[in-house]
Amino acid sequence: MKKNHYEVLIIGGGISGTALLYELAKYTNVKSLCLLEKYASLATLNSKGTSNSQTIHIGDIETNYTLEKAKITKRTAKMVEKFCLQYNLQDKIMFKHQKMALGVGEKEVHFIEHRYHEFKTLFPYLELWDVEKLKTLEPKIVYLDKAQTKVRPEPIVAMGTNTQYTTVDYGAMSEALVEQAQKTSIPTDIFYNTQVVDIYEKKNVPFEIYCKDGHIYTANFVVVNAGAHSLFLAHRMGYGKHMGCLPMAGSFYMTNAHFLNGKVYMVQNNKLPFAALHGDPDILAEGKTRFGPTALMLPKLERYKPGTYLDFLKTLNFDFHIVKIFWDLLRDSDIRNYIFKNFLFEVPFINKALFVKDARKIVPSLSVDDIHYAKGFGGVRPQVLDKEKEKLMLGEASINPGNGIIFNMTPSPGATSCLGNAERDMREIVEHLGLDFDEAQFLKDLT
Amino acid sequence: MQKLLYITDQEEYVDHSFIAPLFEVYLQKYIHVDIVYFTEFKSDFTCKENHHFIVPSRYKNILFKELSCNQIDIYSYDFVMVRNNIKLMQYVLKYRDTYGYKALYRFSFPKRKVQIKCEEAQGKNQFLNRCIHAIQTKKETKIINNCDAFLPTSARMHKHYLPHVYIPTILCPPAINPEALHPHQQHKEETIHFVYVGTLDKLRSFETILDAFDLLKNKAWKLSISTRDVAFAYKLLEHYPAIRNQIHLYNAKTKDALLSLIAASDIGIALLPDIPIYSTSTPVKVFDYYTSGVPSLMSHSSHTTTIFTDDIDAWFCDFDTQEIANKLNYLLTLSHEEIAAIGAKGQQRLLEVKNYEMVAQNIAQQLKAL
Repeated sequence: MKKNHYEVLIIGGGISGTALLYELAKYTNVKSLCLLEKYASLATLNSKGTSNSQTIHIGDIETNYTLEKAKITKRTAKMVEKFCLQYNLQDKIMFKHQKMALGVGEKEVHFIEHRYHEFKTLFPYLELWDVEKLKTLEPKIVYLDKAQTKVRPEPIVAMGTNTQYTTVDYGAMSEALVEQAQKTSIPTDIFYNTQVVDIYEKKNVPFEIYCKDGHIYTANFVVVNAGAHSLFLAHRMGYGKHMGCLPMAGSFYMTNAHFLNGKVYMVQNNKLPFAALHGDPDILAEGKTRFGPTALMLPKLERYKPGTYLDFLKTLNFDFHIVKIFWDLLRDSDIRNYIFKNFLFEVPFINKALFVKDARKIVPSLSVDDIHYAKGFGGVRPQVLDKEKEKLMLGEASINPGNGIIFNMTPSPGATSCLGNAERDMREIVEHLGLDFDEAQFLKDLT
Repeated sequence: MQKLLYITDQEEYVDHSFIAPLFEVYLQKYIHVDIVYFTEFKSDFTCKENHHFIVPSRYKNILFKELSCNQIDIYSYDFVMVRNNIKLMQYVLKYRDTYGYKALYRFSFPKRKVQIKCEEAQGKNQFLNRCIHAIQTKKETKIINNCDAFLPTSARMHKHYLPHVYIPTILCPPAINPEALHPHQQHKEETIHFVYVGTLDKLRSFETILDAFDLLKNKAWKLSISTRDVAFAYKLLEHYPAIRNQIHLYNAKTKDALLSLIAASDIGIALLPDIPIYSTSTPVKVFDYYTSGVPSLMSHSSHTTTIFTDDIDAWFCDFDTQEIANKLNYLLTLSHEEIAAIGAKGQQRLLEVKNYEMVAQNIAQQLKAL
């Protein structure tokens, strides 16, 4: 049985894990670093380009964000942009697209107009686009017919921009982060095909990490950035028992040709913020438009990978509180209908016709012949259930018992905030292990 | 200072609400007021200006839990008031003993009844809905009677829509905001500029008014309409090609834009069918008009006639095409100065008998006495 010891060990080679690896290697004097990845390469699950909408969620067109939240996401989103610019990755893995949040109907139009004025203070580049402007910027969202002769009857308005970086291939960015980390003088080991099954806390060596292949690693500090499996591992150590995990799978539909010039987001329902339909030009599919995501609860933790059904059951942490959360969710007719509708989006033969009906809110002339189910696209968002508060938590969650181990669950906008979350964890590690942190350089480079 | 938590069914960005200054400004002089708005769109709690709590609507069923999670001490409130949402009122009543506040129900407008009347006006059979409404009203009455006080817009509204509510009643009427008076912009044109602001639907029967304008031989008038129901208005105006050029449609987005539009006009129109929905309280648009010193042409209703006097500080007529046409003909003979003088008197009258300073003082006094 082989044993390797590291000062810091990261579990999970997605965008969150690699971001932390990069920051520790680049800005601290950590003695040694290790990253354990379950699969044969980095970012094979939710960080992969095909699994998410490749969006930098800065908070300007994400209509469910409050201004307070947008102030935080703006900083972390800018860190992603700065990293890419620092290594000249613009137009390689990071792109500028037009983007907008579209309001359809009187109520949403009223909301967008007011939101625009509120958020312009934070995002001065935002513009308010009326129907006339939209005819030139994004004509397909304005007209009812393909010949573009008849304007849709309901009022529409959009807030957006076409001057900002909007899109990142987070899979490619994960690779870039590791590449840059390995260029530093810090010894950095990355082990692929290494599945962690257990972590034990010890007296002499703080943590022992047991892998499926029999390897045992030891580390002074451990950060688990393994998506839904973070909670799985936390539960095995007795942490985070007040949480459960609800894996929400998202699928996409792809147009057969170029459809939208930029990203078009809809006004989101606060009850279902993880499930707002949007249209995005896909940087991995020659600019064809990807519509989605749908939202389907899957009884497994990893999409398009075998197994993990049992892990789901364990991570769900089923008890009376979970029943109460589900009950509260399902007694809301909006949520109930949404769940049922999204289930039907996955049923062959009827799915396309049903999905097109929804997507027509963005492109009224969209027909069944224009789109196809994007096979192999989509991931799983580990939405956290807080059993103490008996509610579904939205966004990210972190368990930090303060003894040298952190577990992160980072559903959307986790990729956008990867460098921000890594900064938080890095500061914790630096303090815990008494490391040096080149804060001035860090702030200069990334903020 | 006592504290009131006001839970309103209005949305976060509401700015056409005329009653808002009462809770935002005037009542604050006597009671500390925190206001809960629900958002259908944002997914996190936000606190704005220290006393506006924006709560995602999915937390309606667990409102106090969500507020407590955000460091708001429910125990600190002496009163919790719910506006128009009986389900939320039930929730608030459930926790009254736990937190020790007095529960208040504010009834601003009979929305369900309006919905039924609108459907009826479109020729739809509403028998079932009327039955449901009767059952609901009974249920609501029972819930409201468990509260500590009831705050209807007017005594007539109380008597007409919830006559079996017997708990202490504190009137919460719309009034004029003394600090928001808009200067009236006298224009030099020969024409008389009319303005109508507010909802347009079948129930309001705006075609009666348009028919009257259509009858006028004197064409020295203009009519501005500001409504959110722009599509309905366009469709309605298609039936009046002869006067279409004299009518301008707007959709004022903010309270300021609305008041500016009114201020640039001569006479406000507040003519509404003589049905209890409109006659049991003074239409808010009347206060909008007089805020800018613009006099109002109103329907005869026992409510508004107790405040204004015909030809002194307002004009009245029946909601009938010929009656309206006659009155409009008369108004077209008046000079701009004469019209402005009526507007100034009407504004003064409202400041004397119906301003938010007085309303707030009265509410505060009665709350203290509870």
